[in-house]
Amino acid sequence: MSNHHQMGLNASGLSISEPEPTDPSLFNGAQLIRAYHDRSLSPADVVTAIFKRMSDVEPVINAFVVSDQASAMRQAEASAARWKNGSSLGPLDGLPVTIKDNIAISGYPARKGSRTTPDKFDTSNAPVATRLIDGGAIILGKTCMSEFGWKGVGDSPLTGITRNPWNTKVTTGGSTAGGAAAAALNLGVIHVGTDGAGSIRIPSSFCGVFGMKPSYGRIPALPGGATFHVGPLTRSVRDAAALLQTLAGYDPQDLTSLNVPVGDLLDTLDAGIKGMRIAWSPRLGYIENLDAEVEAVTARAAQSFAAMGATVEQVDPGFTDPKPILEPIWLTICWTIVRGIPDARWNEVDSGLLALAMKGRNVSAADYATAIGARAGLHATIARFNESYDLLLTPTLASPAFEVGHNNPADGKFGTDWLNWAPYTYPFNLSYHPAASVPCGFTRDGRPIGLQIVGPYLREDLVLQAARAFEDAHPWPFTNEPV
Amino acid sequence: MDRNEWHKIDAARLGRAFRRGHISPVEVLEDVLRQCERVNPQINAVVALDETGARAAAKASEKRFAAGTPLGPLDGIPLTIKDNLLCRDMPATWGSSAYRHFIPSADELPVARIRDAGAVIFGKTNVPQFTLQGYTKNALFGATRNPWDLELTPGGSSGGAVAAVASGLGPVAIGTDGGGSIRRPAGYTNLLGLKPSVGRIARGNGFPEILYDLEVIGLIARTVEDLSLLYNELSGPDTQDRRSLADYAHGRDRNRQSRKHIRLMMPFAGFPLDEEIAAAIYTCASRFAKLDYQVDDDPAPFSIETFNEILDTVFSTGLTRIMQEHDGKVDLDDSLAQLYDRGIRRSAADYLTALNALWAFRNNADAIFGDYEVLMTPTAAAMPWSALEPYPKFIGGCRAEPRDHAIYTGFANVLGLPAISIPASRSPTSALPIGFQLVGRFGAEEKLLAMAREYESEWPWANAWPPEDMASGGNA
Repeated sequence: MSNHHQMGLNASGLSISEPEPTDPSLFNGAQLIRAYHDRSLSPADVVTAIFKRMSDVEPVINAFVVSDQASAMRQAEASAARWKNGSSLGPLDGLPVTIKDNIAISGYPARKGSRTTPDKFDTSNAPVATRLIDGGAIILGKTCMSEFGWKGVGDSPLTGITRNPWNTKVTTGGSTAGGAAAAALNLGVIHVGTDGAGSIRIPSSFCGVFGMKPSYGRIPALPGGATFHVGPLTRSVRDAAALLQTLAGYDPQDLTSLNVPVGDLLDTLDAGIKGMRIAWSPRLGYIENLDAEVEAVTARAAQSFAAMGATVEQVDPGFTDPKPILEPIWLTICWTIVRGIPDARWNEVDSGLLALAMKGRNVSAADYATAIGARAGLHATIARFNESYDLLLTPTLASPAFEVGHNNPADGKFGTDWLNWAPYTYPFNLSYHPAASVPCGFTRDGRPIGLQIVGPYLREDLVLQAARAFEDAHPWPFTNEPV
Repeated sequence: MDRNEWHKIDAARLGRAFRRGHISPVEVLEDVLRQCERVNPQINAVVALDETGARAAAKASEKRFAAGTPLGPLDGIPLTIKDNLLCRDMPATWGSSAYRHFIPSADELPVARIRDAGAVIFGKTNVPQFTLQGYTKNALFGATRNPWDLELTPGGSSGGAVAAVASGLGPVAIGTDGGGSIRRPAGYTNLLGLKPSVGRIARGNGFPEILYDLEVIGLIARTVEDLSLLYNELSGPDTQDRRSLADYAHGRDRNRQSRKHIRLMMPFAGFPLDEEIAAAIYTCASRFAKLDYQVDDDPAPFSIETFNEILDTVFSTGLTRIMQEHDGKVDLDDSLAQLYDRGIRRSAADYLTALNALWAFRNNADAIFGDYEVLMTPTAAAMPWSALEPYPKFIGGCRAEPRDHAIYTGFANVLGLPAISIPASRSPTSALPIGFQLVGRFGAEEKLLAMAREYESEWPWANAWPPEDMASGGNA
């Protein structure tokens, strides 16, 4: 474990710059597509290998609510047939993927981490599920999440604790807990999550994988919600770009999705960051509580962008803590969820969610409307900041991962509100901007640390280019077995 | 041309006259200011006048024309801005004592755009307090009156804007529309009123958002050419306004397969409608049939009550939100006091439920259109009423609820769709103007403007002006 903090080294002996692995379950998406192309591998081989490894690690990790090998094999065979007769559906065809348990996909229930949701198969697909299926992706199963995604750690009343592959004693983070753990172990190469206040970036940071929340409106988000963003968790930046390319775009069923061309994200991925103006803001101008190791590792990572040809300047984006904007929105969402559950079953609900819901009951419509109105101001502030800076870098989180089963670090350093250790992510849900977390190092005891990259609105391409440049310069290590 | 009648000339013709050197923006502005001095004491449309700033702007414009470098088709055109929009160094009261002394130092985004286009902003137009009502009266400035009959309201909340344009105080005006605030007043004053799709005209740096995204910048003009000029100048994205960044191609794509098929939705079942208005709308429907449109009398496939609930939630919450910013210490008239009373009782969960219903409607708006390209309705259910009353108490002989007169406009705000009010005809009994409304699919502004132009070329209205006795000071 002692060399984990050195970027580019890997305890498990594998890094992406090394030759391709022999176990098909360890390939990334781009490697799989190449192997399908030259017919050295068939999607069915991959699915078999993944489920074999899954049977070993899943009892320890608990990433999946449900997985379906038989269904995955059928999809793999269909994909294999397409590859064989030259009718591949594109960059996702034959790639094993997972989706978070709050996204509807036909033939699976969507339990959302709750014991109170019906254990009933959905009969229709969310727009993103349709796009995945139409792209030929192989759905392995659905991943664990905190109950309705209300908190940033990886446990729920329905599925219990999901464990961090880098250290099974610490949390994966959440709410896309299973997706991040599965990404870390490469149980599937792309993991579709959702992010309402950090729920993709938080577990990506804790689990040492790449995770990205695109701009609000980039990907149709039905059933949707005020701060709800759909996005990928992956080991490689390229695989995330491939997913965004497939999922992005207007859907007439969801008018919150914008009809703005996304461009060719894969084509521009390796454009580099030469000349980019990058702002590094370790505390956003107001965050006091930041772990010293996290600060040191992220600061070093941020400064390394200068060596890649960007200018890096330490500067804050110029907004005050938007927590007063998030709070009425978050509490109201919690209450509208809980109010839909019969009172008699409230004892089955995560007590923390229930407590927030009770507060949400008392939020007035005017406070909610004020918060929504304030989001436009936050968006405009960052838009003006982006006239001077192409990208903003921050730590993804103020703390490394902490003990499982707790909502906050047990030492009390971050208090009892999980947003205190996750203060960097929600501002960009409120402001609608694209933001990613890239693995940028480890604590001395081997817990991953993430760097957040925030881009101008609808400029996923810039965020991906910077993440890809960083990945190329400082490839992050993987772990293939729980530690 | 009578040299004193420049204020009756539309913007497009003024622009041509400027370019040819027939007249200068300074002379036109002076004529408009004289007209303002004549008629404003009676109509009370303009509540803040900036003669110095306007003269400087007109002079600068004159120089540009002399140098052959005008900024565009609106350079030198005198116009007004509604008092809920921020113009630098002019009062912005929003019709409320809460902002009695507020003088912003910068233009909000659309105002900056029109100023950058060379327009000569000379006044701010009156509104009801916080622009939440369908008439135009407030405690600061009193009532604005309809130039067609000074006893009556020009409607609201853009009542000052339409009264100004109808009286020759600028050929065009800029206002807002959150539930029909541009369209109904336009219908009451023989003018065009356009409410674009959500986001089509970028917003920013203005008063706090009061009506979620229901309120958009709206435009008033006398002719379709002017309306198009104004729309072209103001529409377009800005990075500050996320909603403005959508590419509207999906709306345009659909409109290319022009089907010339109109759904006439009248009346909305269970709501009163003035008989003269109904008759005028049928006349317009038959006129579109003459223009080779297929017009089908096909009732609205939605319950207007549901829309009204959403509107009431958004309006009452918006008022409450603004009241909170002033610690509740703002005097309200009875009708606003009732709205506030409903607003303070609403929970965030109710509001979120209403917004979810709103988005469900938007996502399913295609179902309202079906095979139709455009929806047609009256602009208002009632003829203009007393300038001093917030709403008409009777419509078509029936007792009317406060929002009954306004039911035909708000659904387009909930749906975020573009809508235009076009002069239909004048009442056979009172000679008062009547408007009809066309509602298009998302992003279909150009289609609505094209239809208005087709209609205007056969049945023009712009030569009809309010009675001269008013303009000359006879009928106070």
